[in-house]
Amino acid sequence: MKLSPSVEETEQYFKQLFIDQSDFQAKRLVIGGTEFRLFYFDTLIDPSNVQDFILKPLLLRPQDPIHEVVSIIDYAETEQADEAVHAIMYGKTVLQRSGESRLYLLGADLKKERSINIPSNERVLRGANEAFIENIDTNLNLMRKLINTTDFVVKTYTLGRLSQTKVAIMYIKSIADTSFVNEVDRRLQSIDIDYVEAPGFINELIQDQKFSLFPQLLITERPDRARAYLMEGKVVVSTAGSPDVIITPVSFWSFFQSSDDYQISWILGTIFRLLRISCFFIAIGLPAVYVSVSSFNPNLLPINFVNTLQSSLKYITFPPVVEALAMMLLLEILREATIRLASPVGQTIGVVGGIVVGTVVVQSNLVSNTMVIVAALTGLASFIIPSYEMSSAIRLLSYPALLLASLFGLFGLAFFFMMICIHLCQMNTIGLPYYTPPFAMNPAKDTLLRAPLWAKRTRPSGTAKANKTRLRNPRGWKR
Amino acid sequence: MSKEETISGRQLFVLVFMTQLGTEVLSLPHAEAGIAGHDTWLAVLLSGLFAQAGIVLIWWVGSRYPSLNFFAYTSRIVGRPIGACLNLIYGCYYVLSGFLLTLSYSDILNRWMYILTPRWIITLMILIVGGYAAISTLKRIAFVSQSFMILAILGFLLIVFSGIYGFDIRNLLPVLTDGWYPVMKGTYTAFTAYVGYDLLLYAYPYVKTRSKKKVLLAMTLANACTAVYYIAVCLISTTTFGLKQLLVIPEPLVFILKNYRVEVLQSIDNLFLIVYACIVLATIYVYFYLAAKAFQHLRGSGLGKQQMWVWSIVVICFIGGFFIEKRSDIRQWAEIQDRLSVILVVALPCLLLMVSAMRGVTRSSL
Repeated sequence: MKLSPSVEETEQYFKQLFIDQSDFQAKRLVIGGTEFRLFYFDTLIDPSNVQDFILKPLLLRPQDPIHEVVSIIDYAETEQADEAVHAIMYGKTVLQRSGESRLYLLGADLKKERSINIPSNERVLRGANEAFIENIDTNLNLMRKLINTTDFVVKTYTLGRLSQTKVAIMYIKSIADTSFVNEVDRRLQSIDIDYVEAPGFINELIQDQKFSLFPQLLITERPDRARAYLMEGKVVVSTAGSPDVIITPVSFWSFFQSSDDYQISWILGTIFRLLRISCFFIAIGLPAVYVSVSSFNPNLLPINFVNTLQSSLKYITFPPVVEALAMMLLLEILREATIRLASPVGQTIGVVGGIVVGTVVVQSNLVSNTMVIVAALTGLASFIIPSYEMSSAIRLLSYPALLLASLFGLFGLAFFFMMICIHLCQMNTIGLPYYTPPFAMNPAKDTLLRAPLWAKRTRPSGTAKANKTRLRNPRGWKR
Repeated sequence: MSKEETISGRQLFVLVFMTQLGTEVLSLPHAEAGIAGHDTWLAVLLSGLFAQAGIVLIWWVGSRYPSLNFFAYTSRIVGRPIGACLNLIYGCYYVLSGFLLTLSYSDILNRWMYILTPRWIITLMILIVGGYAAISTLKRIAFVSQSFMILAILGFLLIVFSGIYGFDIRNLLPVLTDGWYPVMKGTYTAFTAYVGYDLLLYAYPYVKTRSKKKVLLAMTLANACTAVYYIAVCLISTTTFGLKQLLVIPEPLVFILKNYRVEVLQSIDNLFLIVYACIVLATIYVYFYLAAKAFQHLRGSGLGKQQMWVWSIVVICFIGGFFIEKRSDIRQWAEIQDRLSVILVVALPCLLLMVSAMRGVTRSSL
């Protein structure tokens, strides 16, 4: 809709539109005979900015062109009413001079954000200590400061019919394969929803497999981690209001990588990586192995060990499966309670968990000693996985493994692992295989092992098809 | 029909190697003991060479139709009705192979570990895994095989290290006591152990290598590795046990592993039998996959969905399992399958090659 040159009519129009909004203001000014109107939400603007950079200069030069008068960088003009409405909603101050049908959109909005903190969910020993925050502009600022190339592209969208949330995708033009960028773009564009809760909603709406337990998009709060993936040709999605960004397409192995791996010697990095991957098997399989050994295949272990095991089971009335299920459930309850509990009472969990579970349960012969060890080890093994989503998925997978092992012994467990392996092999993320076998000499060399930097001359071929060289002349000083 | 994803030469190697390994790892020394006797290893080596000739033959047939898979070009060579018949026969053969493998492995598990568990439960579990893997594309199947391969290698190391105890090279001597005849007969028996390389019939057009010679190289390597695996197994069995013992022990390897003690594990044999599931399944799902593909190619434009075929095969195999209860029945069926595999894997491709050469279908006309 076109606007009329009369300030009264414009005021009328806005007042009609915002009739229920008590914080909407239409300020009337008359300076040197010229009439002005300022439209804004007083909860969204910064009054001192408006005072200093709009009103004061206007008082001095009321007749000059506005863009010469106001000292505000976020400046726009429009003749469309709905554009002006949007701007007001976003916290801009809209100015009209009587006799002009043009509106001036001036950004003097109040910026409320928390400061950049250290990452709380992804701790590392070495490396950067910055984490993303809820303000998307600050997040983009952090990323831009980390990557100073013109190839670094930020594309923004507005998602959410009602919330009008700003979403940005980032990629490096010279590395990322355009087909993936386009695919992510297509999937984001297709989202039509009232409001966006990131990363959860976006995650669920753009991932390939709807019924898989495994996380398919990597979520991180670390700008340095996001940069590392950008350099492999991946796409990062950041959403306003969320301190987490989404990285896609990632493989199964990404969930076992930590930024720390690349800061320490590659040998240590490899050993820690192997530790995490063996914990994948321990977390899924250990309770199942315990149950199948104690009730199905006791002949698998040396006779002395079986004797020790059996002696700890002597006074336990329940079968090992029930024992294991109870302990694992208890562990899960403790974990959930620790997250939900207010921090001052958090210590209670330690007392309850440590004393009650550790000692009393065993003393009262409800659960055997060995089972307590098994449950503790399973929990610890799952918490070692750097990604929260992956670690929860793994812990959940140990329940079906347990049931199968209690029915069919070790063969049930083998059956379960084979099914997981096949499931992983069949999964896709954004058209790429989710899981590639680690022994297949993957060009990324970053799966089971963290290869030394000088051996990783090429980028993963899946995402960076065109620009493969990552490293030129490694350790060239030796020659 | 869904489009097939291409696989690399390395993936072809793994796929063929894992398909060739089957229950024969356990049963070959026993089966050969009555035929080739001390010279089992020689028979196994010879049949490996025959398998190599078979590979070259299939590669040759494949290179005449570089953009089509076997089930698609059968009808080009011999015409639509006969071609469809051939596909049907191949499909049934692969179903039978997968079925018998499932049965013999569940029979082994039943005898060694799960004496009280009904066999049909074990069969069902194996069939479910096999069917679940077989519904995907060749590339994804190769991924699964690549992941399982580490277990095959571990198994091999286990066999070799456990064989060091009680190893007596004198058990091999004298060589060729009864002349070449028993060895040649043993070669025929051992040949089925190598069957699985016929995967190339289907996979040929989907392998992406720099030149098609690389395909032959990958196949040769796979066959050589299989031969080494089998020969090692046979050598260890025949040197550890005497001939008379081998005649009565159906799975000598398990006995050898039982004898092998580590501080932390008492019965490696049980662990090996479980791990062995991966090796067997890598063969079963390839067979199911090939069977489904053969049935799909019954009609030029594709008949039914791959998933539907695979799951119906699984159901048929599961029901069939109730009708073959005794071990001797499995044996009888296996003998039929042996004959079939020689006909379908060696004789028929040879025949088709000749027919296609006579009809003068050259590469340029495609």
